[in-house]
Amino acid sequence: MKAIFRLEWRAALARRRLLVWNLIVPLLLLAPVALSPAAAPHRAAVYAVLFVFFGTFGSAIPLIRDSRNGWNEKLLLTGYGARRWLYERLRAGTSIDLVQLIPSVALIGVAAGSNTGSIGALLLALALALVFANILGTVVAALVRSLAEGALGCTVVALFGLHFAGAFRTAQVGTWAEAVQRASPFRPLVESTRSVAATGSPPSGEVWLWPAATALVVLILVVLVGPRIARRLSGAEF
Amino acid sequence: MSVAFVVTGLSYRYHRAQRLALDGVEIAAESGCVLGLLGPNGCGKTTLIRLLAGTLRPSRGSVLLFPDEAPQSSDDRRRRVAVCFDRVPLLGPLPGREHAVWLTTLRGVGRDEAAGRVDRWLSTFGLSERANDAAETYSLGMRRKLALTESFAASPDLLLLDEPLGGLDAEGKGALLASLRAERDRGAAAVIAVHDPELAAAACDTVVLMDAGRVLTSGEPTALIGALGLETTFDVTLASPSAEGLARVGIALPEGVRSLGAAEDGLRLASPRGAVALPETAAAIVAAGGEIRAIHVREPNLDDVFVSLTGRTMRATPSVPA
Repeated sequence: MKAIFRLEWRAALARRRLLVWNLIVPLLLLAPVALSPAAAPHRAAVYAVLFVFFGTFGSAIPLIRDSRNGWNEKLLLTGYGARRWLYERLRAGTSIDLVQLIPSVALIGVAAGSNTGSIGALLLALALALVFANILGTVVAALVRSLAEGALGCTVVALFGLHFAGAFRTAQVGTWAEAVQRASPFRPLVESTRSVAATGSPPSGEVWLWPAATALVVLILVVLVGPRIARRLSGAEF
Repeated sequence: MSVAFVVTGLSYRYHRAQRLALDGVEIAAESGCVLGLLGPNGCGKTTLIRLLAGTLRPSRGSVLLFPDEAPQSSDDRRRRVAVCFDRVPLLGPLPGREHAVWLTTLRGVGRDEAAGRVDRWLSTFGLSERANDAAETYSLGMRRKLALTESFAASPDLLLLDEPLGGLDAEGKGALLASLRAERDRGAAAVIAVHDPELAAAACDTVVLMDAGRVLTSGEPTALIGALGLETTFDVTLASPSAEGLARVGIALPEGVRSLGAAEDGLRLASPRGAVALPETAAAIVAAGGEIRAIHVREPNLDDVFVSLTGRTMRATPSVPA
């Protein structure tokens, strides 16, 4: 059964106004940067921050809203398994975010005159980053008690996540920070945005392996503790 | 009849609360039974519903659902229970019908079967005409009807309804009572938390009277009322003469009927035989020269049972002080 995945998509498509805003706002934010003469690393950092914010906030805020209005509890009371619910919600959130960000990725690529290989790599890196950002947003939503706390929490985890992925400063070789950077699921996004902004070649295969493995492990861990997260997100003591 | 649930020594304390919300509750219900939880605000009805639904964990004691059957996973058990809480959460702009169909399919019911059930219950609750409007545009009463549709469409073995009458019109109340009877006849058990004694008496096979987190008494409504030997009262409004005047003349009241006193424009009489004594009583007043304008008959109800056990009415202040 993929009922929750389909329901999330159905709800997203029914909220047409929000869907349009989610397409337009990233474009409006990125266009001045993409079309500016700013240095490529600076442009790349802005792209990465916006994409990761989009994923963390896009995951946490609806979950907090649904937690507070009782919708999560209502869904879980139908006997739909907590792990399956969480997994499908993450999948749906990631795919919806990705679709909404495709025009922004196209804009960045076209503005920089990048080749299709770089743009394709950026889309792939964005997908991976959105998986991780949605997981972070879900964990934040489970730990906070209000939308305001959720917004603060998302800001902190997104910026820290990007910092440790080397978005703002590359870690020194041989340090623990470099090991974290190498394994961060945000790293391919950071590398890809730099590649696209500087019209360089897409990141090599080495950049992808550890981040993908980290994202997979974190996803499995989160789904395994799904019932605990679902309990927090539903307000129920299941 | 199989047992739907057994609650043993159940206590619950909310986080940081000084008092127990439930204290040593012991109740059970069989399949095919409508059980009413009756009591003032704050007496523990909602807490008990939430413990039965599994959204709260007991501080002490236990809740066993379907104890006669082989153990099931908590998800399987949840699929057999439908809960209608006081608040009605909705998912954005989806039409009401689609909303209910989605929730039914999440229980593992096929989409066509779910749609058929939902259409049937939407019709029962008088919501068919607005079924395809966005649920977020519904009034409070319509949202309640949608929530009831979702609960009944689940075709559950145990139905838990917390204050389901909020916002319902007369048609909706009638439909709810009829639906509860239909579910009972199907073999489902239902627990309904209410604070309206008349509704509890009309809808429930068994009533559990609660106060301050404890069970005061339980049983069939008529048996609870009958056990107290309470009398039916007749409030008689007179056109002429005055009540004092009529009292001076003297009325030969029927056997058992007695006067509780005279007011400015009428009499209050008590009958241990119920309303059957009304025609004789009215005839006696007329024979004594009284001209009757109106008679209001008040049968003893479950609120009287509550008053006899606690010394106060259910409509008084909450039983658990803040």
